[in-house]
Amino acid sequence: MQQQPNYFVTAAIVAAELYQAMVVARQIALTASNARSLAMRAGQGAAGFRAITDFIDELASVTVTAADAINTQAIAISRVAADSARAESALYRFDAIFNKAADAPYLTSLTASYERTQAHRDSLRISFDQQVAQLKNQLEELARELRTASVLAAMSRVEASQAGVEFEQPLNVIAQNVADAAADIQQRVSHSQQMFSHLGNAYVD
Amino acid sequence: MLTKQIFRDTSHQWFLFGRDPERPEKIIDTNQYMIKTENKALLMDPGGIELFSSMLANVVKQAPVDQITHLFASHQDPDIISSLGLWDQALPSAQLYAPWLWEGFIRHFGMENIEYMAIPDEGCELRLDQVQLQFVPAHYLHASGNFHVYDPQARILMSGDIGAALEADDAPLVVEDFQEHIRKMQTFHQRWMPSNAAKDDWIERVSKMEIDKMCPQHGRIFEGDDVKRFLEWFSALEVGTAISGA
Repeated sequence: MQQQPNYFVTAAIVAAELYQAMVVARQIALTASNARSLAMRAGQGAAGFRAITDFIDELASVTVTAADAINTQAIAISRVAADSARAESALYRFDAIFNKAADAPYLTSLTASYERTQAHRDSLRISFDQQVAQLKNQLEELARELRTASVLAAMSRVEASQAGVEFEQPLNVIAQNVADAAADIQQRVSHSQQMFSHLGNAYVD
Repeated sequence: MLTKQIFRDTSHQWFLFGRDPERPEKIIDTNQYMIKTENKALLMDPGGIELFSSMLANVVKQAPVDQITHLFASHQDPDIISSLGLWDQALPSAQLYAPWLWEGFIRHFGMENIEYMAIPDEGCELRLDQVQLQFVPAHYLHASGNFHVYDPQARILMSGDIGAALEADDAPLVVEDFQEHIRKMQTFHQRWMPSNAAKDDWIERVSKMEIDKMCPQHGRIFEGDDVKRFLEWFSALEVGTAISGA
């Protein structure tokens, strides 16, 4: 049997990546909450840091929402790709029947089933391409949002240095946590973009 | 794949499909059956995914696809019905008669178009044009929800895994020497059939039927007196042996 690309596997891997991204983004939200408490305790010296925690919070919230949407979209794509592969498999077997039973008196009665399956497969391909294009846009948008994370981390480090000896080190840890989490998500998004880079109009002959 | 007409009268025909030489290695050989009436046809235990192409290629030699109005699955095993997702593409208007117990499981094979007709535990009947068929309970032989198909007009019982034998691809289609045939089916029945009570109950009911041919899903067809010989042999056989030493 001709080897079909496992698009449904690719989409499932991307769904898993985005699910993990969502988990990490939730950790950022928790970090932002800890940062806010610490900045409150640090008092006036950490006022700048306190303001940054709102941005960290927003970044976490945007990332969780986007990652959740992309995860759902990727699962839907995986399902469409799997349905398409099933239809393809049926067509492959129908083709074999047309070869095997060329002299069968009722062979032409299979034509309607063949054409119906072909139309079903074609509509799944169109749906797949549309959904992949949509997902690529969502990934691009999320990647753009995540670029602000490195700016936030750098600003956090600057503000941490103003918070006094007692709070500088823990606030730096928080800044590093945000940077690490954002880097993790960026890597997952980038991996997803790579995996999907060859898809979209993939089925156009 | 071999096709053989095993019965014909003015109202209907029975076909056996089996002994597929293109079957991948290590896949058990299976017998598929079809009843064709004037306008309808019933495929019984239509087989696994790997057989689908050969099976449908043989079916369209006997009937147009849109005449295949009904499918029957005696139980849920993959060699019985894992091709369902493909039949679902080929026969979107067909109905599948299968045990109610297995509906949630059989649907895992893929069924978006075909309608599932759940057979109740006590069995039911199906009319194909002038032919009245019975779905006969055979629970725990071997599956916990299990049916056979009886055609009183043709006096044929499609007996699923009962009467099954494991043998060579080029084996004849009909049992020729019952005593010799026992060694090909004894272990199968002792190991696959879990319940002596279910076996005895089935034998009691089937003994009252008029049967000229008993057609299992693996192996050979029993004809004439070999049906009675089989029932006697099966009656004396202790089954469920995997736990006998426990």
